[in-house]
Formats: sequence, C-alpha cells, structure tokens
Amino acid sequence: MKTLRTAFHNRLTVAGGVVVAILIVVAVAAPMLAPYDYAELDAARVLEAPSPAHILGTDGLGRDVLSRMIYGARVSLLVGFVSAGLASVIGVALGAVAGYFGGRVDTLIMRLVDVMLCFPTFFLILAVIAYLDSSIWNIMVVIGVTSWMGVCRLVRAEFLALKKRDFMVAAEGLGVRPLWIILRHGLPNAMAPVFVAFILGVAGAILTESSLSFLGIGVQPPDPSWGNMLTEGKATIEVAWWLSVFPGCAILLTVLGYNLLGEGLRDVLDPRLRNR
Amino acid sequence: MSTLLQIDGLRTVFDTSEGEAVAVDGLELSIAQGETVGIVGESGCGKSVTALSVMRLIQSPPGRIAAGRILFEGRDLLALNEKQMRSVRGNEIAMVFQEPMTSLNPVFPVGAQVGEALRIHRGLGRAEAEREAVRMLKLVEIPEAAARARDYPHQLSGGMRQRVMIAMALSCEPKLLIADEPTTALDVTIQAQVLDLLGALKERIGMAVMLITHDLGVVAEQAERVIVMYAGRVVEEGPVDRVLASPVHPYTRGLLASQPALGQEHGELKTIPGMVPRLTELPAGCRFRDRCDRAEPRCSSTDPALTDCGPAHRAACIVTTEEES
Repeated sequence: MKTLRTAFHNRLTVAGGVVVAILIVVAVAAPMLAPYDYAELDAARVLEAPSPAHILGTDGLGRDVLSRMIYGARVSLLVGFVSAGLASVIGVALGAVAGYFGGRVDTLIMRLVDVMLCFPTFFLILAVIAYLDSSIWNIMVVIGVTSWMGVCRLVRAEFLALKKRDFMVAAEGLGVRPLWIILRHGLPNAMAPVFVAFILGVAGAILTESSLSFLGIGVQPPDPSWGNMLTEGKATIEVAWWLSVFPGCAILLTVLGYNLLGEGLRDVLDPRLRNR
Repeated sequence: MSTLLQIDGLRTVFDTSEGEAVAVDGLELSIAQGETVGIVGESGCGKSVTALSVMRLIQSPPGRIAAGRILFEGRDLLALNEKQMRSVRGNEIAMVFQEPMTSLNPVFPVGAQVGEALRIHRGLGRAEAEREAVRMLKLVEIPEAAARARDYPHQLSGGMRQRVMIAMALSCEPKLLIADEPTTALDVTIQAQVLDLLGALKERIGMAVMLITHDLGVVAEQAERVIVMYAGRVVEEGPVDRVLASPVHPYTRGLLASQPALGQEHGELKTIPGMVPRLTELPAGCRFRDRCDRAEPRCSSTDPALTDCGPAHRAACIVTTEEES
C-alpha cells in the first residue's frame, strides 16, 4: 500500500499509468468501442476529413480511421506484452542461472549476452522476418528473442547479491535443490527490477513492431496496426494529414505512457532513488 | 559413546589476491553421539569455516577444501556427490546460523520455511508439512504457534526468529546440529532462553551439538567438551570443567583472563595483545608466539603438536605442557 501511495505522488507516473490503463481498456473492448468494422470499405467516402460521422476521418479506401486505430491498439498491446513477456522469461532464466551458479556458466551466458548486444537487432529482425512469414506471432517471437539481454544482466546482478544473503545459504544448508533455491528463494526477491524492465520492454517492443509494420514487413493489411497505417498515410500526407498524424500520436503517447510508468515504478521500487 | 563426526587433517583455503589464505589448517576434531562440543576462539580463527566445511557450504571459488577427511557415521562427506550431500544437509546434519535477522527469507511466512526441510527430506505434502511446522514452532516454545506460522519474518522479534531457525534446523531431527554463534545477535536474557531451549531439545532428540561461540560462559553452561581454536588449528581440547579450571595453553589462559567476572568491577579488563596473524602469511613454528607471554626462542622453530596434559585433555604448546607433566 505504501508503494502505491508513493507511486501516486508522482504525477508523471500516474499519467503514464492512466495512458496504459486506457489503452488496455480500448484494446480489450475494441469491438464495442469501434464505430465501424475496421475493414469495411466505403468507395463513396474516400479520404474524408474528420467529421461527426468519421471522427478521425477515412483512409484511401474509405475505411474509418478511428475504428482502425482502436483495433491497432490490440496489436500494440499483444505485441508489447507477448514480446516483453518472452524477453523477460528468457532473461530471468538465463540471468538467474548465470548469477547463482557463477563460474563458467556465468561466463558463457554473459558472453552470449555480449554477442547478442553486438548484433544490430533491427536488421537481425528484418533478416529473420524476410525468411519467415511476417505473421504477428513470428514478429513477437523474434522481438522477444532479441531483447532479453537487459533483463538478463539485471537478474544476474540481483542474484550475485542474493547468493551471499544468509537465507540463501541457509536454504542450501537445509538441503534444498539449486533449482528450487533459485525459483522459490531467489526469484521472489529479484522481481522488482524485472517488473520495471518488463514495462519498459513493452514500450520498446511496441516501437519495434510499429517500425516493422511501417516498413511493410510487420502486420499485413488489411489487419490494422499503427505502423502500417502510417505507411498508408505517408503517400497522401499532403492531402490527408489525419492518416499520418493520429497513428503517429498514438504510437508516441503509448510509448511515452509505458516509459513514464516504468520509470516511475523504478523510482518507487528502488529505495536508493526514493526521496530525490 | 561412539563417534559421530570425525574430522581428520581438514585444510580449507581461500584463494585471495594476496595468495592462499589458510583458514583451517590440519584440523583434528571428533564429536561423539549426543555430545555437545563447544568450539571457541577469536574472530577469524576458523570456527565458522570449520562448520561450513562440514556442511560443504564453502563458497567455491574462492574457497575450497584442499585436504582432509570428514567422516560422519563412517562416511566421508567430502567424497559424496552433490546430490548425496543434499540428502545429508538439513536431514542428518543441520545448521543454525548466526544472524536470525537475515537468515529467513523475507517473502515467505515462517511456517512454510520451517516445513520446507520436511517436504524435501520426508516427502510431506504442503498441508502436512505446515501442520508439522506448527508442531515444531510449539516445540521451540513460540506462543500461538499456529498464528505465528502465518507471520512473515519481519513481524517477529530477533529471539522469535532464532527460535524459528532452530525449529527449521530440528524439523528433521538431525543427528548433529551445528550452531554457529546462535545467540550472538540476541540480547542477554533472550540468549539464556534460547540456549536453555537448545539444551532441552538436544536431550529430547538425542542429537550431538557443535556449538560455535566466542563466549566461554556459554560453553561452560552448555558443553561437555571444549575445543579452543587459534589461526585454523586446535590449540587445546578437553572436558569443559578441566579446561576452564586449569587451562594449559597460554592462548586459552589469555581468553579466560579476558572474560569479565561479575562482582569484579575494579581494574582494567585483561586483553591478549596483538591480533590473529594474517592467514596468507602464517609464521613458522607456533602461530601464537608473537602474542604469547611465555614465548621462548624454540617456539619459532618447533611446530607444537597436541600433547596429553591430563585425562582427555590435550594442548599444543611446548612450553606449558612440559610444566604440566
């Protein structure tokens, strides 16, 4: 409760939290909130400016921009959470093993992290997607598999410190198996930074997915994503600004929201940064 | 009484940037079934490292057991693989750590932690282990045990937490309990309670206790035999009353002289001059000679061996053991 109260003290954190909450509600309730079907064509109302009938206007095929953006929020949410979730699971598993066991295992895993960090991740993703189908699931897996290194380092550092704590040694003294010590005694005490890294990871994954979709190798039309909406809008930006501005703002606000929430939670969960 | 634990020539070293630090050097020690043995000595003399060596919990690297045998009921613990060793830890040999404030996991209720060893070694289910944990908490005289079992460590006082630690250690009725300064972090009245409890439980379970402490008063009350360690070696061992009444080794004498006695408030407290030698550069000959008031030139050349100086009483000093015999 105290944690929550501290969090509410920071207006920016609250703002980020509100943005994230709204996005989640919009994504979940998309079919109820969208005024039109996101794929419904209307040849009579092509490139219509925002009006009471189409609040955010229509695109080059006469589809309602607002409805497409609402469904686009689903893609963002899904990609963000699944990718960041996958990255967290990989990062936590490898980081915990590296930090707890140390020695050669640690060296091996940390060099793997170094190698992964050396790759220009975005081009790696491009290359992989070029070979695989550009389905949303492939995208999520690829983003997840290329973004776990930060979490891995964090968790390793936590475990290096935890390993020396008396209760970890005491658990070993009771004959507890190493895997069980890691899962039951270590992880619950190392989750705070992971949680923050997860939230920040969601923002990163959303941005990556938008970039991929913008380049045409992410979510494929007619399925809407904010990234591919931007692509469609860029050809007609001089006559129909609303096609680019609204999805662009959506991406900006979303990433900003997750980042503010993540940073705010970091301040709350890390006592060293408190009361600054 | 038959021997439960027999340590032969144990040598535990730590690799440091300044070379090999020998924390325990050729230690000989035995504990009989049901016996309480006190191990005393200054900080850094190898008491805790001995305990951790028996549990095979020396952090490696930097530490390692370089030589020796640790026979527990005739089995060499150093020859066991990690899996076999896990079935010994917490089950046949259990340990109570020094710091009750940090030795419990902050994110779990204490009942679950007490039950953990039972689930591992006895294969009990969650509910059964929880019931058994409450029984153990009652055994260590925690009031309202069922309610306390659901408390988290931070909700309990230091004395209560140390009782929880003892309950954890005793849950599988070990044959040997290693208590590493179990009362150092507690205040004096609680110390006495915890020690009395430990003594009573020892009788009840019939286990042997290796009691590590620097408090000779604790040893006098609890232990049957005492082992005095200095710089990784045993310098004197024998029955408690004998060693405390007529110590032979100058170090033991120094330790006893530096204990404050009640009603003896006048005068300065005696101390032993100097410090334990650096473990990376141990002197040849007697390791205590630089601080010893009885040192003679021959002490720097002869490595003193444990020599009989009374019934079951041995000391490692070439000067004073000559006088005794």
